[in-house]
Amino acid sequence: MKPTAAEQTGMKQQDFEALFSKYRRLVYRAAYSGVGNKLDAEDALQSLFLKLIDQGFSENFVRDPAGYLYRAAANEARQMCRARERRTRSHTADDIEVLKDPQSDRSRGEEAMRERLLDAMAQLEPEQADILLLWFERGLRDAEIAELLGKTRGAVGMMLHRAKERLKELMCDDSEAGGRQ
Amino acid sequence: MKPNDMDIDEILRRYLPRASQEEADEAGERVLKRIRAMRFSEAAKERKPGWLPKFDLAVLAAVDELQGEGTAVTITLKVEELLEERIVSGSAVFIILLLQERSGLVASSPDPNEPDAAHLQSFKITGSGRGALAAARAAEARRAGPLADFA
Repeated sequence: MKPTAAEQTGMKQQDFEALFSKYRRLVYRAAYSGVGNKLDAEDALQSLFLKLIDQGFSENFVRDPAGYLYRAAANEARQMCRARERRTRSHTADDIEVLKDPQSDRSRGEEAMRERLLDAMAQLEPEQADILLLWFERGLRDAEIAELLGKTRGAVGMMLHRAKERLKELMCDDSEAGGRQ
Repeated sequence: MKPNDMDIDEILRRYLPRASQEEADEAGERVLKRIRAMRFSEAAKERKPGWLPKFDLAVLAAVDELQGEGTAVTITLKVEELLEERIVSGSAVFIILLLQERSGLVASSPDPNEPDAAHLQSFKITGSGRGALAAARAAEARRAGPLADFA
């Protein structure tokens, strides 16, 4: 009988399911915070675990599975956001007219702000975005993030401050660019 | 708005999307079922990694090229373009799209104005689909060998 892709990398179904069960919430929630919709977050979850089956465990994964999967999920979400932004930029003139209409912009309200935040998050340095996600989405404190990332507490505090400042700049740039269209 | 006027903590607290534990568990169950079918089932044992029939590969490539904007009709036209041959039945493409969706290779979204119109739903490639497409292309290149450019 031919081996499955999983068997070729030595992964047994029982082991995989135990691993999946342990980390699925962590990966899904990290991805969801990055993409903001269920479909893409589910896609990221599937894609990451398929890679683990097909490519086996990397050294970084073995050293710190939770940290590795969290960063990988956030990274996958960033790539999805960038791809979505590229597609949005290629919309038709009619779509752009709708975006320029102040009435429609107001009606988009919170959704527009969330999109703007996600776009700005996708443009941050990966480490900055990771720290913000760990702080706001996971609710970790400086010391816990420092332990997870192997940094000092002071360094994490400084990085968090810089990440917020950069995020503000990006959101303002985005807002001005939207106004100029 | 100037950066200094912005309360970024409040924005993050208010607008950063957060999934509930229940949502994460439901998504996890769906994904686990798909992964079982794709990697641990008997059917998966029959397939080599990277194996996709030529027509299925063309459908997946067409979905990828249309960047999430393709419907059954535009995908069929793109498949014709990629294969350089006229397709008699567009429904064959549609069935393959549904099978690929079930395998997690593509995902569909309904048309916002006509959510029940199957022919208007758009398809986009998933992360798994991109992986399968890359693996299938690599396998095809290996089969073609170094003389492929002279074919």
